[in-house]
Amino acid sequence: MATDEALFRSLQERGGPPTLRFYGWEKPALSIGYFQSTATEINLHHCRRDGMDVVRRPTGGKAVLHDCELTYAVVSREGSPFFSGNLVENYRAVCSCLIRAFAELGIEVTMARECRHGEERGMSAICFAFPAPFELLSRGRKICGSAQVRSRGCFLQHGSILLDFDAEKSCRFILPSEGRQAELCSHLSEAVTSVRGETGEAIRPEPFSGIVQRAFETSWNVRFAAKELTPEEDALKNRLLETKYRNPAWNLDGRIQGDRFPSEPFAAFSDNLPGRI
Amino acid sequence: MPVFSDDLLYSREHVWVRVDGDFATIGITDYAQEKLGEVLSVELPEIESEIERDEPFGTIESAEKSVAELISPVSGDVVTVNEDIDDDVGIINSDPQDTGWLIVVEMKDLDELDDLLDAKGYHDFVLQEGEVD
Repeated sequence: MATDEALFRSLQERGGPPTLRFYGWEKPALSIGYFQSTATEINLHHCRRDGMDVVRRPTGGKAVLHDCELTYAVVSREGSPFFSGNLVENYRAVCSCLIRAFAELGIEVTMARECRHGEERGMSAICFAFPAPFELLSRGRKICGSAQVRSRGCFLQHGSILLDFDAEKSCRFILPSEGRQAELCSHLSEAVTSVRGETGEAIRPEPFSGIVQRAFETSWNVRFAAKELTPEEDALKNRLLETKYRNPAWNLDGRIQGDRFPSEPFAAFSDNLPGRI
Repeated sequence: MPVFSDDLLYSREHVWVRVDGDFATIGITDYAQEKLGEVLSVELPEIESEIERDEPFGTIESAEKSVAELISPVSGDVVTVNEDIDDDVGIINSDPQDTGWLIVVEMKDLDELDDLLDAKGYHDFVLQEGEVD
């Protein structure tokens, strides 16, 4: 999460080409939307009991259990050759590439045309319970959830591509309306699918990330070059880890002293490599 | 078709300013709310906090699961926050350039206003973004 934001902030300050990044999680973890309440939407008791980390995203949307999935991130300026200044068009541009990747696996995926709200069924805390417009569906069931943050003419879109899905596990860590756990679980099972659910076969995140990268390259007629974080991005990432993404005040309460909108970089770290055009 | 009111100044970050002496009332433009779609949540600075020109002073989340940072057009101290938004965040969509205002700032440097656009300048600016007739 810190790397995603460091790339986003750095692009605002220094410019540069679009970045496509893939990453996984050392162990299953819950990411929650920028405005979500852990008090009313997350089952913190179960998270603490089972050692489930909770991290608050810089992007919108609802809670995602990162387990059997591939997380992607796209960071770009709006108004680049690949993206307009229009929020929805940018969603569409990224999701078109993802659709191409799913097609490589023989999965027919379409964009949702309208938002299917989950409030009335007590599902509103869960990202995968209902699609926003232009999110990805296979046979009407959500297979990838995405969210954005935009600032100063740049955007970060990241999302979770489901390789497999365990509705019961998601429900365990996200609060449904009182006493409706079974109903929530049943609804989620019907509303969500995964690569395994569609093909009957498991796929590892690494080969699928290669398929997704090639889909972007084919769609945009470009080649990505693997790049490490710059020293400035590394430094900013470290600072964000320290002050924000390892800080319970941010992750649980959405509060933070300074660095809410960091712009000045500092000191270093490195893990997954971003690919830049 | 978005509204471009003649009595406002506009930033290139799609924020409007209504000036009254040293005080600036700030909100998002009608064009911006159209681009954002249905606003679900807003985070604004606390009264007496200090904001800087060209720096984020708050965030808005829309139904498309996008968080947009609000970039301040002026520097100064926040003196008032629109509490009506707590009751009905929808006024940012329905009346962004009047009752849907966000904050009032006591400005530190009135010269910063010189960098803002008038209604025609802002209209031309968004025309370049290609989404207004």
